[in-house]
Amino acid sequence: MPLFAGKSKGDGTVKKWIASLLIIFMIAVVTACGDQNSSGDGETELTIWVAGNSNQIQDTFRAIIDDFNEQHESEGIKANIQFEPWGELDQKLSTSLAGGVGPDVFMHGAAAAAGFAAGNQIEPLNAYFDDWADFSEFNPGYLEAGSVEGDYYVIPIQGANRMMFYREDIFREAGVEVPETLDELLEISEAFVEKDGSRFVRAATNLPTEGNDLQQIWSAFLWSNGGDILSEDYTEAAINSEEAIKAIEFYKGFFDRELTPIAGMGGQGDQHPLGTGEVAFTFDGVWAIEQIQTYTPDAYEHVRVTAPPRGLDGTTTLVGSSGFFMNANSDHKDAAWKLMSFIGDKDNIEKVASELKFLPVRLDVADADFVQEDRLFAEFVELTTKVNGKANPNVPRWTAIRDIVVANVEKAIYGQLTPEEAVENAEKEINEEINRN
Amino acid sequence: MYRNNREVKRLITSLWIFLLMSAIAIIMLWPFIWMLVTSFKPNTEMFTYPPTIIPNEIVFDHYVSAWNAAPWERFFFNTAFVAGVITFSSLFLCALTGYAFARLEFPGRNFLFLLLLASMMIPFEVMLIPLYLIVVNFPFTGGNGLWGGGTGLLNTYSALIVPRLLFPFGVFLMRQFFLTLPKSLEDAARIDGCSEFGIFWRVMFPLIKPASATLVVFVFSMMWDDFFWPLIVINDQNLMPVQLGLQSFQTSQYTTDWGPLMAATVWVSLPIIIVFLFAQKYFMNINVSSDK
Amino acid sequence: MTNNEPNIQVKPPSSPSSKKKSYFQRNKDFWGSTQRRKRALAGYTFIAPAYLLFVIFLFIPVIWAFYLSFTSYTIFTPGEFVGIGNYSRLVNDNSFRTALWNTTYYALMVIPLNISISLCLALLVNRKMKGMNFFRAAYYVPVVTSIIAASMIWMWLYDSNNGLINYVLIQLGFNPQSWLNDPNLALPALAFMRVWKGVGWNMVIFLAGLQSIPKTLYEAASIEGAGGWKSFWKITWPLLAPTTFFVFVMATISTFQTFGEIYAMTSGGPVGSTTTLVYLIFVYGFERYEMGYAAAIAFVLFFIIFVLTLINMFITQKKVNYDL
Repeated sequence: MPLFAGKSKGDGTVKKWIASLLIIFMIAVVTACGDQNSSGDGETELTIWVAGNSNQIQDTFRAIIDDFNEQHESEGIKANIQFEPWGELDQKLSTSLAGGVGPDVFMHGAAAAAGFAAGNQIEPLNAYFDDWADFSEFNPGYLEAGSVEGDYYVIPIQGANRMMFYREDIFREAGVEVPETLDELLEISEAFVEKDGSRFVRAATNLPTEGNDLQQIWSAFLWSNGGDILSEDYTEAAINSEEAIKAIEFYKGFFDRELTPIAGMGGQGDQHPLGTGEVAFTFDGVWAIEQIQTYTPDAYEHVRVTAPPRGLDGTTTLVGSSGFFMNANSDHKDAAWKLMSFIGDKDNIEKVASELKFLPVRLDVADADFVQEDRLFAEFVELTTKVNGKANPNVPRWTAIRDIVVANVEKAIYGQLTPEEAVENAEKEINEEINRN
Repeated sequence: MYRNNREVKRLITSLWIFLLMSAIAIIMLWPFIWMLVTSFKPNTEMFTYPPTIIPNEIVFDHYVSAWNAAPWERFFFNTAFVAGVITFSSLFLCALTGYAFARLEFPGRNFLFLLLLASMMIPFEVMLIPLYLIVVNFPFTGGNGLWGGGTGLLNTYSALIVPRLLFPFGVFLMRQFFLTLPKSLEDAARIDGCSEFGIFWRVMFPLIKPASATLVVFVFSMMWDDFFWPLIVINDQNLMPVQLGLQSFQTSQYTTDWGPLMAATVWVSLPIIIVFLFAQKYFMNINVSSDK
Repeated sequence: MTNNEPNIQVKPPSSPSSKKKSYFQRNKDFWGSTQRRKRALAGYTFIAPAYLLFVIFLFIPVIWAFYLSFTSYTIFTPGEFVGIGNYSRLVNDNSFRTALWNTTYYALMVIPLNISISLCLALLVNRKMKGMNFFRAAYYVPVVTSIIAASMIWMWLYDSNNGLINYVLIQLGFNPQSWLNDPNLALPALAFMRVWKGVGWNMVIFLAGLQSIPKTLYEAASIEGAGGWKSFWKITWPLLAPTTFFVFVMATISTFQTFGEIYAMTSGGPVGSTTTLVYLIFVYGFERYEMGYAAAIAFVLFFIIFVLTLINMFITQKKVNYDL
């Protein structure tokens, strides 16, 4: 050990610490090698990632995958399932795709399709859909939500529409009915508000002032007015319009007239504000139903769901979906398709919808028994087939465009810009974003 | 008389300090107390206004359902194992390295130290993908050749341990504490013919026990609290840490199951508080002081 | 091999009184002495294992990220070399400018509060008293409370309509505030939470620092008749300098890199008022996949923290007295 200055006393300890370091590395390397599951016997191993890792989600999807594995054992296909929390799904997915070790099949919000497709990370499913009889059974809106430039990329598993929920008792008490138009809704909302000093005991509604939620709810108003964010061919912004200004004024009206607090009315932990009677109506997805049942079961009987009132040009609601995508770099695409189509068959969609209260994505599941057992759920499902729906545009820069829309509408709500300035600004920024290389 | 007066004065000062510290303790502990209280409230009473401090009805349902929500025994073992290995090996590594940076003179020392320091200043978000690629392509592990081919360290304990054996902040901490030791100690040992490693190991290292205890507590609690890196590199549920268990209460993209989350957070936090209480006696190790 | 960098040197304890000699002369002097050579070799050996890990798992990723900041890398596509394109794009990026200001404002609130409160706490708990173990642990509890759960609890405390803070304000006759939804209050509210979460950490370091100050010094001062205040400024503060330096650097790094609670509580809003640089890096990197541009932002952030550290090093260096 010529490296060390000390020889007499030092060597013993030096050896000891070198040894201990070596042991640490050995452990590391051994565990690294030991954990490899060697499957070299011609078996096809698939990995599938499911978004969400609550107990119920795990149980339901595990059972489906177990079924699949049982049925495909003879073909040598085996699927391994993993559950990823929604909040970090994006980061984990993009990191693993970048590392070339992504899952063969993964679940994600359909709106991400354009981004993934632009990076050649997901496989178009058109060829598979051509030979698939079940294709026509799917609600076209949900399939559309995950299609980019005419190519389908997603097998939907969960629908995400927003409808209007309201408390019939609060409406009755106020002596009003659900009006025909959005403008009327704004006018009657005064009747619901109860305040204690500056604190709202009850607000008319709960409107988000930031993020995805703002865009999703506000866009529905924009569309109902006949406006849009992008032009039809997605090549430029179309947001600088009278319709958009009207939509902002309507939205902003609830805050300006003190019908709802800008900080929102949904703040009591996981309780739904409709359940607690803190608001008279909301624009929400199907998840609201279970929230009301779990935390405020007594309120359930007073809650109704209906189509949102008309804008200047009828009623359009947001249609979104999440579903399964196929990794474009998967080594086992045929097996991956088998898995995807297995999950998409009637029994499994029904299983998922009934156990997890996912909005059914297949038309032939919409009137199943379990749907009818839950009054609100049944009404909601029926509305999704009746009310005009529209998906967010699937363009690669969508997240950036969405952020621009949100930022400008938000500025208008907070009074930093007039609605006119906001849409003008948004138009300019969106065009810059589209034209940037 | 004079003496008594002073003692009374001292007692009053102590009382004031005690009151002050209690007030601060309430502020610091409040969110935790709130969490505890909430974890015992039934769903329907969880969010009343005005808030109730003592629940009207105490239920243990949340603890039961939280415990059933994830394989907690396994998660606890994983976290304890990973945090334990990292804590003790990084204590040694950081002390050794910090000592060299503080007390041994060699060309490039400050440059090398500054490099180490600077690496902490880059946000992890942009290092994530490069680091991930290194872990996935790590030579000769997980079916890899010299570079890539398999999955490397991915989905192994090594992925959790090896990249995090060294904490620049630990080196930095140890260096700062070694800097405060008097040089005379070192010189005396050197005259006695102690080897450089001997000086470090037998003379200097024992003198910075408060810093070592600090590092142990920090590294342990950082590892216990960590969930982002394990989330990224671990796919197998059998290797997941406790913090990922806390994720299972997100019931949908929009909703979270509060009660069980609060309940689980209580037991997930407990082990670090215990480690802290245990390590505390070493904080106060050197000159057990009187009052000032 | 780079030799001692005179401008960044924190005065080492055994620093020889080197007069201005040429680089080569100093080098020759250094390697001329057997004892020094041995000690230098020991130094390199001691840092070797750590440096190996450092290079593989930190240094290479950093350099890699630095390279990416000159490309149009998008996570899924390698992109091409764009020179300083990303950096020049920053100049005209409004969101970057806002984030830079938010970060600065946030840091100006958090860092001084964090350091001064934690030092006071350390001085408070650095005594023998019944129940002291409890207090020390109590102040450390926020550090170990999972950020996910802590964020949820704080969102609830801050809630404008049902939150405890507003409830207390109303009871005391003040106006309730919409904390996290008011562009003027959201960032201070997050800063307050960060101080709550962070002071325990620094308190422990200060405590360790205080414990390392030889008690004999205080006894000597006490004999000379120096009171508590005076002995704090004459003994505690100067001898705590290495610790303070550490605390400052770590507080700067962690404050400038706060992400968890912003992600969980405000997502950068309202009206972008809590979008800090790190949050912006996340948005560009992982939501829009523009990782090259995100890396450029990261290196601007790095530059700010680095300069602050150097300034602090320079100040600390002047007043540290190592040899006792």
